[in-house]
Amino acid sequence: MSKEKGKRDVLAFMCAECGQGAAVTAGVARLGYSTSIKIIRVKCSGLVGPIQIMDALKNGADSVAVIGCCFQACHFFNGNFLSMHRIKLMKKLFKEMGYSDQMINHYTARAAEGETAVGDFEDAIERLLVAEKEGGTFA
Amino acid sequence: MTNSSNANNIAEIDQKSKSKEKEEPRIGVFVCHCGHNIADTVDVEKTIEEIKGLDNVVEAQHYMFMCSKQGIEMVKNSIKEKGVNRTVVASCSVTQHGPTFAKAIEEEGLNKHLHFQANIREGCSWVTSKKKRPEATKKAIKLVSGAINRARKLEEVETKQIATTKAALVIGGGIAGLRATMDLANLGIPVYLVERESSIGGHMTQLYKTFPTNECPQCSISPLTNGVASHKNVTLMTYSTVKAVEGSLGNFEVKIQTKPRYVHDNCTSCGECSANCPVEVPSEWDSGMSMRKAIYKLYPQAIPSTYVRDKKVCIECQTCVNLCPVGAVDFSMKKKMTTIKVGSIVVATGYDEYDPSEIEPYHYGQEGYEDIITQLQFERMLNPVSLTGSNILRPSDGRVPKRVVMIQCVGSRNEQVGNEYCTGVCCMFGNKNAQMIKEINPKIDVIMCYIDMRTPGIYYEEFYKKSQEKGIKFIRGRPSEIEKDPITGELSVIVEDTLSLTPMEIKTDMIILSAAMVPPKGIGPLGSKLQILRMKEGFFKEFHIKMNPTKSSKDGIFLAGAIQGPKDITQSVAQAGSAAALAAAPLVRGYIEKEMIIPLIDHSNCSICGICVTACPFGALAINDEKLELNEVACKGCGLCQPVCPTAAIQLINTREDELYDEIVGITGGITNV
Ligand SMILES: Cc1cc2nc3c(=O)[nH]c(=O)nc-3n(C[C@H](O)[C@H](O)[C@H](O)COP(=O)(O)OP(=O)(O)OC[C@H]3O[C@@H](n4cnc5c(N)ncnc54)[C@H](O)[C@@H]3O)c2cc1C
Ligand code: SF4
Repeated sequence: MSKEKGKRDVLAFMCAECGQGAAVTAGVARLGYSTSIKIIRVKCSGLVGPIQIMDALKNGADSVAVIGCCFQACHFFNGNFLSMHRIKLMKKLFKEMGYSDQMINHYTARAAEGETAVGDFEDAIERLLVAEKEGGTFA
Repeated sequence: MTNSSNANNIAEIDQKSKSKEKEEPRIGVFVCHCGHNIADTVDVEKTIEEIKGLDNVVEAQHYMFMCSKQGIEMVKNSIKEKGVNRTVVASCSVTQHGPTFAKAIEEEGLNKHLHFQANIREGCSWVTSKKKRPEATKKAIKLVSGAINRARKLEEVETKQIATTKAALVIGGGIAGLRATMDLANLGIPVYLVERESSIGGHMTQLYKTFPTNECPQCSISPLTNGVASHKNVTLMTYSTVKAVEGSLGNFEVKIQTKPRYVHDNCTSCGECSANCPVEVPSEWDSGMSMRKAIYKLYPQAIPSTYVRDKKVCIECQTCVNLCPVGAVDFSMKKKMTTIKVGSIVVATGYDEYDPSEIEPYHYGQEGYEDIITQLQFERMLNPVSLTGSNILRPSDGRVPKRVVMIQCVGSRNEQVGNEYCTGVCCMFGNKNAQMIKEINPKIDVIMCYIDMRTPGIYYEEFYKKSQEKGIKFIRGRPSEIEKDPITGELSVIVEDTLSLTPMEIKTDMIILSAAMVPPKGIGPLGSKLQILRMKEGFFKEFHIKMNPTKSSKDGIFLAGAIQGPKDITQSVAQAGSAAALAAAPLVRGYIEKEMIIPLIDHSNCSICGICVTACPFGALAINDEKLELNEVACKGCGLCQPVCPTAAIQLINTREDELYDEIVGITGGITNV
């Protein structure tokens, strides 16, 4: 049931610090990436809960990426860590329920390096393609 | 600020936000061309067409440069003429021009938090090829729709002024703490300096010379120790520790416990008591390299100069009581608790030297291996009042060693003992002490076993060169073992020279271990009292490793010196200056300004489960009298509490879950008429 190429929606919740920083750096460097990626700005990746992730998937997003600062560099100490664990747990749950665990992912990015954000986006899309192949998506 | 007044404030905000919700949102949307930057990739006109019918959108315009004077006028006019009360500008990143538009609407009487920025340049046009104009346009429409949805429920956020207490606390009286105290006091701020030992000065006063100039450390530090002790703005509290800390930036309340010295301040430091005291024990200060009495001073220049009685070893013969010409000795003194109020805290509790006895193959501290000492012990051996009379002698038999081997990286760069980091200072003090040996007795052969020689910085590499010129030998390799000949008692160091790939056994008379700098004892309890985080290495963690190295995880608490990781004196002093300036700023100004981006608590839904209390990294939440309370000064508005709440009773203003939902729907559903 995969969608037409480029018509997917990958919602990327990015923290206002390194996450947004990396996205802006990527923009300034004109690094290209798929229009599937849509960024939502949040103060910290740890603020994104299961509800937001499910809301996104339920309302038509094909995949969700939560992107925070590098470990040890979270501006609120362990928000990124919390987020990573939250998503690890959700992945487990997704698998148990028979869905692919490749639709939800946690990443980190470095504000000074736009490539890190683009790498995260590309990985999220790659994983989404895997999920579609496995047939475990919501769509 | 007490918690109960916070609760009132929250109630106030609750009231306010309710009244605001009733006001019908009138959204003005402005899409920027940014010259060619956006318009070449995104069809700006089409975007406007698509979103202008969305609910509550009363104004939708596009313009060549929204950030120009004319663009800003457009935004302002929409407020004046069309009664717009929420603005969305779709242009560049929020960091670039978010503040420009926020200021513009503020000038028209709107709260600046009622502006929302959609990033269609860095987040869309710049990252999409011009050939993909239709896709880019679709994406921009989705992003703008999301922004409009998000703007609909935006609430005013007030900025509060919170008065600060004009006083500071410095914990730790080493070089870093002293520098910070002096800098703060010179700004006219009353400073309490709390030191655990009976004298200030810290490790620097234990050193024999300091690199890279081989200066006398006492000479450089004594203007500071004397200056601090006699400064009218400084209250010196030695023999004291912090027992409890409450409050947050601007207003802390700290309890300090002072141990009894058993000698009153009228002590003239004549030394009669000590000279006649019959008890003699090894001096901890001199790492056992000298003896002290039961009534003693840490070192001759100790400040305060008042003597101190060690109750544990005292036999209570009363000799000192009877001899003291001013009657200062008093065995009945009790410990004292003092409560102080301060606005900022500087933590400068330094480091401890690593105890190498844990490294079994080096036999440090074991019987029969007395001639293996640490660098700090060596520094103390050279001090004028040491047992060796500041000569270089073997501790075991008092002979002059023919050869001394130094082993670098002991307890540093060693995952087995859990310290991955390079202390960074020991290559320099190893070189320094090797040079000292050569200066004092050029006949002694000095060999340094190192892994890498790390001497970066001005005059530091030169310092290493100087060692080479002095004839100190360097062997690249980490010794695997120290052996002792059972018959002759001679020590030998087993090491592979990794440059020539030769295994070696170096016979020697004395070994000096360059032990790592590790977090000082008692750092754990102190950290939890201050509610600041530590790194995995155990030192206190800075707020941001690059941008904020002297701020702790908590607002109003700053870090100076080796407590934030191993440092030499130069770095410690520089950091102390920075910490002092940061600590002084809110006190000199007299107030702090804080945007109240804080979570709002719905008490009727809160089940007081306390999970948000544990999620908050800043200790801003607490349950008091069965009610969840927020310390809005300590809160940094990260929103980590929001997703953990099982009843959605705690919601961050302007990032509430329903607002995030609206934005998600705006983006995923494309055009949504809610
Ligand atoms: C062998 C050796 C040689 C060195 N030689 C040099 C050199 O030549 N040149 C150079 O630049 N650097 C040298 N250094 C490094 C230097 O010692 C440090 O950079 C410097 O002392 C750090 O100062 P500080 O104030 O941060 O810490 P410290 O000097 O450790 O001071 C910390 C103070 O805080 C007090 N304290 C600790 N815990 C508490 C508590 N809980 N409550 C209250 N008070 C507390 C301590 O008693 C101490 O007085 C050397 C280090 C070693 C180990
Ligand atoms: S400074 Fe030199 S001796 Fe110290 S840990 Fe680093 S490399 Fe080893």
